[in-house]
Amino acid sequence: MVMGAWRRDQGSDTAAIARSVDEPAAFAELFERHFSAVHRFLSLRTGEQAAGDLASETFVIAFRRRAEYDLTRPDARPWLFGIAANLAREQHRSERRRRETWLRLVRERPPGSENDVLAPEDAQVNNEILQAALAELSPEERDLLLLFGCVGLSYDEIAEALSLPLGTVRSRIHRLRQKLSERLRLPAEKVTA
Amino acid sequence: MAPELDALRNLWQITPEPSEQTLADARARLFDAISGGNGSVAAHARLVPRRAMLPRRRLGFVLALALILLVLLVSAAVAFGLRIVVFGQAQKAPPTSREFKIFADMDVGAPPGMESNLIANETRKVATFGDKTLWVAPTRAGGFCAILIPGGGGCDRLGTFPLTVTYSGGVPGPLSPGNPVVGEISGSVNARWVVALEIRFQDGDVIKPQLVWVSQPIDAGFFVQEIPAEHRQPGHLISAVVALDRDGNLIASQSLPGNRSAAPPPDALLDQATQVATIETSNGPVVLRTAPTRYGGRCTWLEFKGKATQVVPCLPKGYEHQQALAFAVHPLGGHSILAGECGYSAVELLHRDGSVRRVECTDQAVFADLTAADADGRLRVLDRRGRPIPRSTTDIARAILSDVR
Repeated sequence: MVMGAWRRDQGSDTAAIARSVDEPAAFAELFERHFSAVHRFLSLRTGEQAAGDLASETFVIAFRRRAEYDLTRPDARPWLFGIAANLAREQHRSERRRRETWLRLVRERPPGSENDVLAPEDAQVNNEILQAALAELSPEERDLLLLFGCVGLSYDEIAEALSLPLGTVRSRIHRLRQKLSERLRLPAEKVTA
Repeated sequence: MAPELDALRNLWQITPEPSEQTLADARARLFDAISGGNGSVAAHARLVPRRAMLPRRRLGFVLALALILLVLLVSAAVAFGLRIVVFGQAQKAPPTSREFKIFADMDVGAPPGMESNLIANETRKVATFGDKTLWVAPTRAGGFCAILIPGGGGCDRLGTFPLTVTYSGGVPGPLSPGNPVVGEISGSVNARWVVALEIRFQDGDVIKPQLVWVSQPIDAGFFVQEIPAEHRQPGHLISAVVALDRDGNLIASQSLPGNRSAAPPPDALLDQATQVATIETSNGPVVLRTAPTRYGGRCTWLEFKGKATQVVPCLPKGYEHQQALAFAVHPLGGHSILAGECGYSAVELLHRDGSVRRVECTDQAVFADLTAADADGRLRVLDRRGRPIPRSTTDIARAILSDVR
């Protein structure tokens, strides 16, 4: 049942885009369906402050390019997240500032917590270190991890979104997962050094 | 499960959803692109296929093409019996006009969060119905405010209400269950879901009012329908006003104020209804049920002794946070049952003796069996951090309904 519902949703992306070529207002369906996820992705990718504008811009660009959409693709998420990722990369300067802020914030954590080995239930600390680790990655690496681990796109969909070969996506994600896993096992002090 | 994937999923789960303001801003921006980029008109007007992307190299050519397109669209619409108004071409209200001032003053004194945020500079005359003129202005959140002069008006600030109806009495005195004779109906339907409107009568007759469709950013159809004399007699009165989609499915339905039905709300998709909670009384259980609607909203109702009582009107998405609309106290089976929508975390019942009872919201609904001390006190709403929401305090006595069963 769940799969059936999921497939129907996927199909309706294409239908909405196709219809929007003659009925532009039909594009609003795509917005209502995916804006929240695109916004959350961009929030993790660039910070909440920039996410609103970038997510909004993502859908305006998608709307303008809707006639170019490959209607054989039933799910519009790779297309939308590809646009979002490109926009996020253009925010490189502000992204760098954010990364520096994150590192500074993590360094400024209370001394008592600095030597703690991460406890699995300590989600707050885990998230800080995870975000610090993400901030140290290149924009492309971050896109790969967020699209795979957070958004839940498949390897194929990520390859489509980021215009990368499938093999490259698989190998990079594998390597990034290992790297992240090691980071999460390290004492907090080493992570933030 | 791999710990790094767990961590990423946890991060995703705690990443907040966009705020209503972010959503509204983004919607407005997209609607600007939809309206401005391609000269869109209401979905019902799009009977003639056209190119999605017009070339921009030659402005004159584009304008000429747009004009031809508009003529074709309007011709096609007329051929199909539709009345269409391209909002951007409708007459603007001068800033010194009465209509402009009415809209400009609309938000004066509105409680926080309840402002319409309308764009008064965009007040436009979109239709005339006999001696009445309809003025409409868009809101920043994708909705609109409309006013019929002479007559009245209102706002759907989010543009998510599928159907709004205003009734005018056919005999002197206010419309009420004791005076249910309607002389005129006016209102609007949302073009996102609705293509047709029916006024249904007790004797089985149906009138389909002429709708005037107004393009983006309004994207709605408006109507004014005088009720014939034969339908101002007992047994022939209005039973419901019903909005339908292109497949004839019921999107939304409204009955006269005070008309009570023992059936679940017609807007509810009953095959997706869920039972939220039950309160046992000596006369049997009171069950709170909810169900989604075709317009992304939700209906909430009580069932007691085989009869349904609507808790609040079925609310479109985004309106469930208006606490004044969203709950009531129902005297059922000798109990006072507090029931309603709750887009917050909890409500607090403030007793006269200073004690407080907290009722958690479950599945975005509030449902509680009130004690005498509760019913004699006040109620306030708490936000997600447990803090009282300003101006949410209400006397419970004001929320008690009179429909004792």
